[in-house]
Amino acid sequence: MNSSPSPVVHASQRAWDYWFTDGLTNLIVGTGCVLLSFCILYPPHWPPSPLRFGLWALALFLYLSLNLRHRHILEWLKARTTYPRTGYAQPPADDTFCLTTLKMRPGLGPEESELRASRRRTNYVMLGMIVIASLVMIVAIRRSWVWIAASLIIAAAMIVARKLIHVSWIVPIGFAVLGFSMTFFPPPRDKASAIFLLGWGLIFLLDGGTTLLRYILQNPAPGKQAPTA
Amino acid sequence: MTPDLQALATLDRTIHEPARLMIMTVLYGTGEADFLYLQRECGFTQGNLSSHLAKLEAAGYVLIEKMFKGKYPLTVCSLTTKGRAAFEEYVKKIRAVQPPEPSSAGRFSEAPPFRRTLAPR
Repeated sequence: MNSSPSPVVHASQRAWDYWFTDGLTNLIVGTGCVLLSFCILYPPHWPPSPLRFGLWALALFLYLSLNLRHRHILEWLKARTTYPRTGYAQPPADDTFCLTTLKMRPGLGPEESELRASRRRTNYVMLGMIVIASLVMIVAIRRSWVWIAASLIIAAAMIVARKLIHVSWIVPIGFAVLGFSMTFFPPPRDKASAIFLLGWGLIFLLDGGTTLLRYILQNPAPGKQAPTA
Repeated sequence: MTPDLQALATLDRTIHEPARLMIMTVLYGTGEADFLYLQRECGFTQGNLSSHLAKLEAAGYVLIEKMFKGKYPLTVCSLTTKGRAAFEEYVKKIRAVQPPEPSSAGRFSEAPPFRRTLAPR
């Protein structure tokens, strides 16, 4: 059997990759983490100060909106940045674990697409389990070195899954730096998890920002003339 | 002419043209894509892509719709049911002429050029 992917599978893979090419997904993930960490770091106290409560409520509202409407927000952003520059391709299925919506028929490489989708699913589950295990380790072990250990484990997982989750080297390096910083400059214990989450968000914001910047520089905005068939 | 060879003569000429085959392949794999994306993926000029899309649309294989994403107008192309069926039929016919693997038939020391066209990389 031919080991190279068929052009159809290759085209669907490229369309999948295209969704992440502008870094906007990582920017959304980063923003979500920052907003959630803000909500944890600055909870409203009793009696509530109107300004503090307002900011907390706003951050929570934005976080929830981002979680519930991330697809629409992404599409809205892409319509202003990506589609005018490099065009539109059908986004991947809403369900992250159902990555290939194609109904491949016999003779067009169904085994290839199924194998790829299955491999992706396995990798996603493994990555999720590693990240959750690291977070449990942080909560369970109250030692300063746990930050380095957890961060290095997450960084290693990110290196392995770099192409799957479309992140640059900034993310694994950022996690390693975050772990060392948390160990050598320990924050107050009650706020440590939120600060770790904040660092996580900043890493993804940095990664998404640089990817977006690179994308915009490589693909300058077209004139006002829209392409027509 | 043998029936096997006759089957080759019934290949869909609309799809058989390399540029249109590229468009059909991308659309089959992607689902739907706009004009600009297709142009970049296939490396065509605007005029070239327009004329091939027009032929595919005339054959009823491709559906071309104008839509808006935000304020940006898009010319979105997708395969029709007829187009998908025609593409699958075409691939089936092409696969039928695939020679046996070199290990099972010593005569074929290397794959003929059309096989490389079907599976590049």
